Amino acid sequence: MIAVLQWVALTLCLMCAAWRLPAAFKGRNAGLFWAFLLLSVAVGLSLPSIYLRADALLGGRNLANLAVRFALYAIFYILAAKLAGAYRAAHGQRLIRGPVGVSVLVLIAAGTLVLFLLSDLPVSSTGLAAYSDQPTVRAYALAGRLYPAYAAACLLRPSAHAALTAGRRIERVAAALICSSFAMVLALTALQVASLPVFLLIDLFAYGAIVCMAVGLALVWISLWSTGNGSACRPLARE
Amino acid sequence: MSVPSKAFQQWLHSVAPATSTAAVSRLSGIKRSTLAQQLVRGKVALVTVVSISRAFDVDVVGALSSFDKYRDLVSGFKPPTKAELISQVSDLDLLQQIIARNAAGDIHEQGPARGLAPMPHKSSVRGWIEAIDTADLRQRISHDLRMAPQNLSAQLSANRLPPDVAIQAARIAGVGVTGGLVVTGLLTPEEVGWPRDAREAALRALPDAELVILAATRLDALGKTLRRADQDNEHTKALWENLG
Repeated sequence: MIAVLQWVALTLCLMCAAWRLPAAFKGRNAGLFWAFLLLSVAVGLSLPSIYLRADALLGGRNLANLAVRFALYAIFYILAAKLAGAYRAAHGQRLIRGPVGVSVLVLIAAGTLVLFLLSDLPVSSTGLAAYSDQPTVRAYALAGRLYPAYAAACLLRPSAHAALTAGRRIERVAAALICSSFAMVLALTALQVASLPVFLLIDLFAYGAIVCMAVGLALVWISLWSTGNGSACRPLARE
Repeated sequence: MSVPSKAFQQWLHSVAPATSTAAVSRLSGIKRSTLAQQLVRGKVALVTVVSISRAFDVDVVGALSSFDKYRDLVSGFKPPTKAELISQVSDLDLLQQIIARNAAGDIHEQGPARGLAPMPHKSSVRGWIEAIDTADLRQRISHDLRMAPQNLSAQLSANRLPPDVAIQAARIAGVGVTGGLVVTGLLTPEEVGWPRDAREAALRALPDAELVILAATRLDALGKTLRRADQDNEHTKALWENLG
């Protein structure tokens, strides 16, 4: 079942990236295109059939896993910054793009790199599953969850607020999906930190969050497209 | 909101005995597929009956009241109350009237400078419900029609009211049963027998103080609507700039 969800998530991410391609060429919010492209790469590399082949190209020393971590940091930075702006969350935007947010990101990225180098990972293994008994690998996995959880925590309230107050139903549904995506990221981090043996639930949250994010943003694009590219309506004007 | 297909077929036979369904839909401007679907589902929309009546030059209210559910549409006719008529004068026409009275000096001889905007206007439905309200009208509508109060309020905000709700509201409030169908635009004032220029006359008879207070209330409501629209625009703009 998780395999189905993984392929659904991968397809949705590729579709979203393709959808953003024309806008990215025109220079309109190109970050969204890169976020979905990187997300497609990250999801693709969580599938053993793709991971093993890609890692073989990179020398078979699990560098691909490191690439996934950094891709996730970039994805969460871009999406969180864009969504904080979109939901006019000044506080959230400071926490992501301000000095605090950037130092959190740099610290976690540096920690990830150090822990990766300290670990002994001689043979390709999807998700580093074969090395989970090494303490540095466990710390590395945890560090990888920290930044997504931080970004999700910053955006949880603004997106929930938008889900309750947005003017049109499609915008409320989109915000609710995006909010639940962040909630799932937080929930799966909590489960992982507590190191409960609920791997199925963790995978369900991880890919469920990706699906919700992709569908939520697609709904936002549909709603913007149907309102005519963000042009304002003028209620005083005669019909 | 609908009449059973069987009764509709009988009625159609009496109105247009030798006309095929295709010809009926062509003459009345209803899409053939729409009409066919309504017949198959056993529920023919009131607006279908109205369009066909108009196409065949049949009295519309009479046609509607030939169906069991709407028997009282003819017998329940009452001329519109003053409050109902005034509620159907648009905000801009009220303001025009204030300006016209100010310019004329003599309030009683000055009618509206130009013809009033055609009905319904942008807040016709809410205005009408407020005009016929009897303290607990909305609760009774929700209760009688098993309609959630927030649904009713959403309909009013969108200036919409399903025909059945409009008819039931008028029955509860004890005003002319067809009034709600006029303010929703399903029927014209002439079709239900509202006197000609009744709105103009009601507006002319409105004392200065009431006119100004009413205009102030309407502007207040309009201001709230505009503020909400501004917020929505602002929201959409932020979405567009960051995600569009």
